[in-house]
Amino acid sequence: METSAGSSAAVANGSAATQEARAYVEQEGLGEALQTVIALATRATDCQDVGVSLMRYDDRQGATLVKVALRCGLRGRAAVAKEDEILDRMWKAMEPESLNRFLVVVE
Amino acid sequence: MRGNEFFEIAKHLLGNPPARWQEAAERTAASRIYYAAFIYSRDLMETWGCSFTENAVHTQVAEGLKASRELELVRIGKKISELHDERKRADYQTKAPEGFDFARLEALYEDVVRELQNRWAHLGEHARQAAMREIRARIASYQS
Repeated sequence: METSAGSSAAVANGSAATQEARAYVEQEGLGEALQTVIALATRATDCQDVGVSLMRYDDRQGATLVKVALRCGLRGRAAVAKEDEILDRMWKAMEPESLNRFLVVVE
Repeated sequence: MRGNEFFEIAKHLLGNPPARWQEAAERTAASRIYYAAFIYSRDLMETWGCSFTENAVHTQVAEGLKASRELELVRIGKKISELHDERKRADYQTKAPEGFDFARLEALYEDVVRELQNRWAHLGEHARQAAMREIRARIASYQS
């Protein structure tokens, strides 16, 4: 997926977790929102190549989220700060109901 | 007891565990850091007037905050969800490589503890009442 000049992101297709998450996204009609999340998040990382993987996150108490993990080599406080920045961008671009279906993690 | 005692014991476990218990110590520490943040948040939200049900309280705390339409509360709710996800990995996915980023977990915990009280205190009365309605409605939606 081309996201901005000079950067690219590819969602891994192979893993069972990603396939399960994709099926859930389709079932819930979240495809467009997912594309928005991935585009905003990869643009915010400032990395040349970002690996994206998806996981369905069930907390067994009734909440289901789609976890979007972006691998761009950040750790610790720097990763948390980047997640804060991504949430700021999502907040400006998305409705809270859609935004809250996703958990974006930078690693 | 207070939630921060779980954070302190997590730091102690990470200090210098015997080699044979290192993985168990790290998994336990990751789990305790979540509980430190969760208990702090639950107890504080109870002082705001929230009440939780025992079998759904973990979801109610995180999702309640995310329902508030106040960005900073949503941000804290997401950090609690992230810690919860790591807690499940620590306690249940014992066949997977562990590899916890403890600097990240500590940053998430510190943000939750520093910001939750602070952000709530800085909301105006009208915004606080609106947030409380949204939080309570979301909490109620997870009662079984």
